[in-house]
Amino acid sequence: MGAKQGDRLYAQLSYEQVVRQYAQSVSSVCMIRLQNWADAEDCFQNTFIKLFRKSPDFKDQNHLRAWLLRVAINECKNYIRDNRRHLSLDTALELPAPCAEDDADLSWALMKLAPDYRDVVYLYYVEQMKVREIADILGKNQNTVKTLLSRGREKLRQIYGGDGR
Amino acid sequence: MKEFNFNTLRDLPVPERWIENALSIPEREEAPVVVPFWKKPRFIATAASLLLVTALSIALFLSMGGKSPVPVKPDSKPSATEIIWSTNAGGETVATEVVPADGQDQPRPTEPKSALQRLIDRAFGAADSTAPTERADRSGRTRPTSHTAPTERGRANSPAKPAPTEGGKPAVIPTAPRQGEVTEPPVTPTEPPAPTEAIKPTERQPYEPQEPPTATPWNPSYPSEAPTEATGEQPTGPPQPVQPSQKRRVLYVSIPQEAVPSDGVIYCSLTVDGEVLGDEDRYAEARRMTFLAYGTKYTYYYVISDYVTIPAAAEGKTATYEVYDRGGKRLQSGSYQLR
Repeated sequence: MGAKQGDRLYAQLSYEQVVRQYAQSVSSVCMIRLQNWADAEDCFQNTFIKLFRKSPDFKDQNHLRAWLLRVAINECKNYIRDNRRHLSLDTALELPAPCAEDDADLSWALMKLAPDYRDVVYLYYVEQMKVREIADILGKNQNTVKTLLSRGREKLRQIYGGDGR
Repeated sequence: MKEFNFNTLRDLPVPERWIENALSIPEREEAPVVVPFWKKPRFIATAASLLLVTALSIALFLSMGGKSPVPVKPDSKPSATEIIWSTNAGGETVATEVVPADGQDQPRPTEPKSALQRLIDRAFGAADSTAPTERADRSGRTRPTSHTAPTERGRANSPAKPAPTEGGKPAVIPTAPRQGEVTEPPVTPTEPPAPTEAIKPTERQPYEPQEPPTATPWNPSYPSEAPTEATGEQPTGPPQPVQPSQKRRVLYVSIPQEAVPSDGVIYCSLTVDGEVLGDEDRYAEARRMTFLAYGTKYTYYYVISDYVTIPAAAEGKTATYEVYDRGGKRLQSGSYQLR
């Protein structure tokens, strides 16, 4: 690690601490969004590059996490827009998934959702963010987020077959 | 039925390579280099554009030299006339149009030009003849007579009738407020007439009479019985005493444009029974009025009666006149019947 890295603090965290603490969330968002490991890695790296270059001031760690997720989602959107590459579900399933079978089923069901539903469901259930925070990250109204969350949950139940918890 | 357990998704393992690459970003990333503003392409492009525009402007300015980019016409009027506004002694503003004739600008009245021209045409018919178009008296000139009212002009050739308005009698001279017929005491050379006519050329020739001429009964032979006595016939103003021995006559000489001297000055001598009236020097530089007669030809009317005193003994006699230029070249001659 370079000397510059230790000089900067992000919500009382060093850059390395930030990377290690939020790599899971950022990678999950990118993977669920892009459904491709290589593309998810690009967006993952771009997210932390932005963090390092811009080094914004964060009020607390929640703010930091929300900023990282928002940047990660935007990076994924930009990546899809720039590459115009639509991955099929079969392609995503062919990728090695280092997780259990049930988790892979859930990920498969989640990826079958539309992107809007997928983001809301993931942020709400996986990242356990509040509706207000999701609305801030996605730039949408809270009622819209609630609607997307309700419909996404229903669609996920139809796809996966089970009860949401 | 399956249950959603999203906690499993939260525990997705992140490849260690991703984390290592993310942690190595600060080593690969260089500190942002602060580029001086003068090295920024936008600044360089702006400066180059300004320099280019400035250089082109200077080059264009230098290529023009002293010429104006927009040609300026010397005069919008086809005849290159110039209107001069001046104030006479009566405090009135008078417009004088200066028309270049033979290379000189000569003043001529402009305001009622069309009406005046119409009247002259009616009065004189053909172009070149002596016209009783004496203008209103000028300020500063000491005249022996008081003046007829401006309304009297209309009765110059028709004393028995009331004064016509414009366009009335054919011999009406609208610019001669003291024309003809008023018999006035010769000992009152005081006031200049109060010119009310709009046509009052203000430019004066340099000559001034040495002594104020007394009223002279001149009767121009042309165009008609122009000046007659108007005592008691004035529609306005009190009647003035008639001095039968002296009458003011208005004598005009009309000279075509081509015959007018270049300096505009003519000399005129009046002779009655072989005797030259007055001093010839006094005839120098007669007043001049310019009228457009028949198309584009100009005829200049010189009022020479201002400079001569005709004695009462000359009544009924024939006066001859000669007009010559400064070099002595005779321009015109003729005769008048004094009555």
